[in-house]
Amino acid sequence: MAEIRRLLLDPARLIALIMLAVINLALFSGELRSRREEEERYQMQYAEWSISREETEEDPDAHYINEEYPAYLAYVQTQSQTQSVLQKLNKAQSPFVTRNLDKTVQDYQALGKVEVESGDHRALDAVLDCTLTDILLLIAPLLLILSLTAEADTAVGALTRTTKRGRTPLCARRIFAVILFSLADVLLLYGGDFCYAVSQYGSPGLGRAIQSDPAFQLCAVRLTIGEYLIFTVLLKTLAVTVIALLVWLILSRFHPLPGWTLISVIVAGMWLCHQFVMPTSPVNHLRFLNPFAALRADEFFTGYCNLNLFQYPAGFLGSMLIAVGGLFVLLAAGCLVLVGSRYPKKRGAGMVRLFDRISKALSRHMPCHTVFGFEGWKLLFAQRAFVFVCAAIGGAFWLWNDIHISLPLSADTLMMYREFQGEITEKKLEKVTYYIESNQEYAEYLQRKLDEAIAENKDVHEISGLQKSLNEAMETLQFWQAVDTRLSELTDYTARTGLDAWFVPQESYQLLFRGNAMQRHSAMVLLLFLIFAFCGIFAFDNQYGTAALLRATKNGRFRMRLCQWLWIFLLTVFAALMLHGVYILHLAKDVEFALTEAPAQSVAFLQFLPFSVNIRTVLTVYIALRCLAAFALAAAVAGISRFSRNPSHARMISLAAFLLPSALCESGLPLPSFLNFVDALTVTVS
Amino acid sequence: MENILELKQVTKRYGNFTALDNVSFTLHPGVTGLLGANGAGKSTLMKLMTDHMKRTGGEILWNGTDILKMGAKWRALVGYTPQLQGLYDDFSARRFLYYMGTLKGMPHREIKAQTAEMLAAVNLTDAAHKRIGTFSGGMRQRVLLASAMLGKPQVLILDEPTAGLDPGERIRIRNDIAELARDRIVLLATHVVSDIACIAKQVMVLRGGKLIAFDTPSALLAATEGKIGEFFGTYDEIRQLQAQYPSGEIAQRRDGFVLRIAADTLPEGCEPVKDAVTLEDVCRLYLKGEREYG
Ligand SMILES: Nc1ncnc2c1ncn2[C@@H]1O[C@H](COP(=O)(O)OP(=O)(O)OP(=O)(O)O)[C@@H](O)[C@H]1O
Ligand SMILES: [Mg+2]
Repeated sequence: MAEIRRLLLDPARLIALIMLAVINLALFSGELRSRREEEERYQMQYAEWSISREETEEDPDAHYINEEYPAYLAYVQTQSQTQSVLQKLNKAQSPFVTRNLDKTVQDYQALGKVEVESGDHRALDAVLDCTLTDILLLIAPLLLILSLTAEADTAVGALTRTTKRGRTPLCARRIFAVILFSLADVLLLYGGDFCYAVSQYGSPGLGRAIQSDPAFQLCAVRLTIGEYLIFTVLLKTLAVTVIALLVWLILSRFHPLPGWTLISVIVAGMWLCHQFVMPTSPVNHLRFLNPFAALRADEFFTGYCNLNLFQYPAGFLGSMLIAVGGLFVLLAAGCLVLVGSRYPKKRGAGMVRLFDRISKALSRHMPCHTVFGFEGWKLLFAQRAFVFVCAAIGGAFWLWNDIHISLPLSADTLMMYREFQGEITEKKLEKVTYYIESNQEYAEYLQRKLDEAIAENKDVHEISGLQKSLNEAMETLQFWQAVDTRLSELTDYTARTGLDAWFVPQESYQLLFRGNAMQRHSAMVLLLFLIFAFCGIFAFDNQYGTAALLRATKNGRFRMRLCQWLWIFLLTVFAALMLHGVYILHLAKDVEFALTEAPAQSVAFLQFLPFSVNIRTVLTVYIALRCLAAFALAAAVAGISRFSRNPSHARMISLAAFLLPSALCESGLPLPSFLNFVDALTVTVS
Repeated sequence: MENILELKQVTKRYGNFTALDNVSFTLHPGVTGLLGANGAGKSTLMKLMTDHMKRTGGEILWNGTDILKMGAKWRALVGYTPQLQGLYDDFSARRFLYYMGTLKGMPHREIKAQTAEMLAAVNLTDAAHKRIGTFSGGMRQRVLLASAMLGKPQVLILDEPTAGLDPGERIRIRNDIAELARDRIVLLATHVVSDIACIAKQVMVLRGGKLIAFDTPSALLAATEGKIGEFFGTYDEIRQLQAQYPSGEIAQRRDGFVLRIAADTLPEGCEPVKDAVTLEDVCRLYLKGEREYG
């Protein structure tokens, strides 16, 4: 019991877990927000369309409950009949297909009568695909395992092995601790996501049948939403535990280098199988009988599938439970036997030897002979900042795939832009006036016709047709009037201030300068990078007590500091350009920055600029400003590092000082906005 | 022209606590030994000489110019080994020396040549490529010493450089230091009196932040004339006497026990020692009443 308490209640571990939960919450809330923004844009785009729809159609929820779901169940039943007819015609069909059909019918029959009820299932849908949380779930248990294997190498490890209960019993307790810790981890992270989603959308009603949510239409298990959530937590815990035990077993039997290689191969293999083997593939066993499938959990409830086990269909949920559960038992037994009772391997020696060999080769052809080079080496390799540089690059790729920008621009608008964008000339103004006049005439003409038709009591269809054309004409008229207003605003502005202003499509600038959830997402990743990369830069010297020695040398003061700051600056600018750049590139690609040579005052919210400057310059300065904001934050992290005993100390303080308040602000807590460093990194113009 | 390092009334206070009190002396080329009990202010003095921290008062002059004014130029002349080991675990010994060489502003070719030379001098050539994290305490100390000697600085400030070394290494390094000190100023703080006895031209004794003796070893030995004595008796008698002279050293001889005492006036029954007076006795005399020494 003492061992479990020691492992679980270690303050540093708990703080790390809570930090992870906060990071997870921040990323999850950012993802939700960006999804909502996208939905809003989408709705705007189809606003007209949906207005006309709403009158005619019923609530989609009711439609699902009253028609779609019963229809689906009926379809499953009839399908077996059609199939059996087909089957008589086609004798060659494999026995699996028939058996599978029978099983499907039976499964849905066994489901009995499910009471699907309407309710708000947005919270449930939100936690359906939180793939990021799934990955973050693995971190804390892996850290626990790492501390266990590291301890085995120390004097404490040797000491505990000599005690009476220091081998198998101790190992059993540790396995139990890993399970409990994984459960806590899942509850905190996944539970945090769910609670956040509930706080945003309201409760999905835990007592409803899971099939009430259209996403779970195919589910053939009788479950309420509450039971589904519990089941998911347990499945995720099982998956996390299995992966953690696997790592433990391998690390305690192999030297770290081959050990980690083996782990990466196995884990990456499992992940790839889960990711890329199709559910309908003949080898879908690889996909479903996989710890990562258990980690994902929801696909067992949103889908329906039987695995082909020697021509007999086996339900995929049950098969997975048996396979992954069996793996868990095997791994636990393996840990008990191999970690607990056998002699420990002298670990680490291979790594050290390899490191020696590399460093021998490196010192022979020492590439860095300058203070700048050495400080870079210290930062990137001795402090392992290169790991975070790689992670930032990976983050940029992830963001690149994650970002979708769709703009609600109608064909009319695009055409208008093509015609009128650029400098405002007399000709353009005349043209707009002409458009307005002709449309006005047309609208008046239609109005007259309509009045006549009503007066003459014409056919209803004719009247409604006229009404529709009139509405359209009025809309076009309003559209051109809006263009006219905008143009005259711009000419007024020029007349008033003497500064040029062109007619420029502003959507991309709006999206960039005003900031949005997507950009805040990048900023959050940037914030994480800054903290993790630079928390050690000065604390590293404090940790090893080298300050006195370095300061006694000629270049150990100004030059060394200068080089360190230069590295901070370079890496910050690199990361900031890359992470912000992803969104900017997306904008340039999907929406286009129109007329960058136009005066900045053409953009409505840049009209406050009192001097003439073109948009391109403003863009450049703006991006530089963002880099500067990132550098300011990096400097703050470095400042904390300066006064910290060691890097991990500095990391904790920086996370608490910068990430925690930002993450809390991002998740919607009403904190003062100056605490939101994600905001500061996005530099919005208002 | 001979280089001179001159300290004038150097004072250092940590808050209300005075760690160094008006210390003045002049150093010439050659080894100067610095003795003093724990907390006497030896490391503090050295940190002031490398300008690691601000001094409260006084001047430190290199050939007449204050070192604060010289700044980097002064540090280019200094080699320093701090007392608390300051090494990066992830660096190999060679990389660390390259790093120190770069920080000392040495040209590249020099760094390479001298690193090899210094590694040989401290007997670490075979371990040069290994991570310092895997080194023993004595090996780390030798890396530090090599880094101090790198660039052949004019002034070497060594804070207990031989702590944790085995007897063989200690003698080797002592000889190296003596060799280096022929035309350089070396200030060597240590608790191992025999190190200083062998190579020091001058000896300095600090006590409670005050300089209480500064002279050549022979002069110091001469000054102890009649102040060192030995008392023969039973073990119980000796224990009684030692209570009054806590710095007295008990030794076992063939014919019983003996207590060696250093005091301005020797107690009754105590036989003054004529020859065989060592620097340890000098320390015992100057540092009497302080913690057990040596
Ligand atoms: N940074 C500091 N703040 C406060 N007091 C300090 C500080 N550094 C040293 N002292 C005090 O100054 C006095 C002298 O310390 P110093 O380190 O110079 O002693 P030392 O002679 O080198 O001792 P040792 O033989 O143990 O190395 C001690 O009493 C110590 O407590
Ligand atoms: Mg000291």
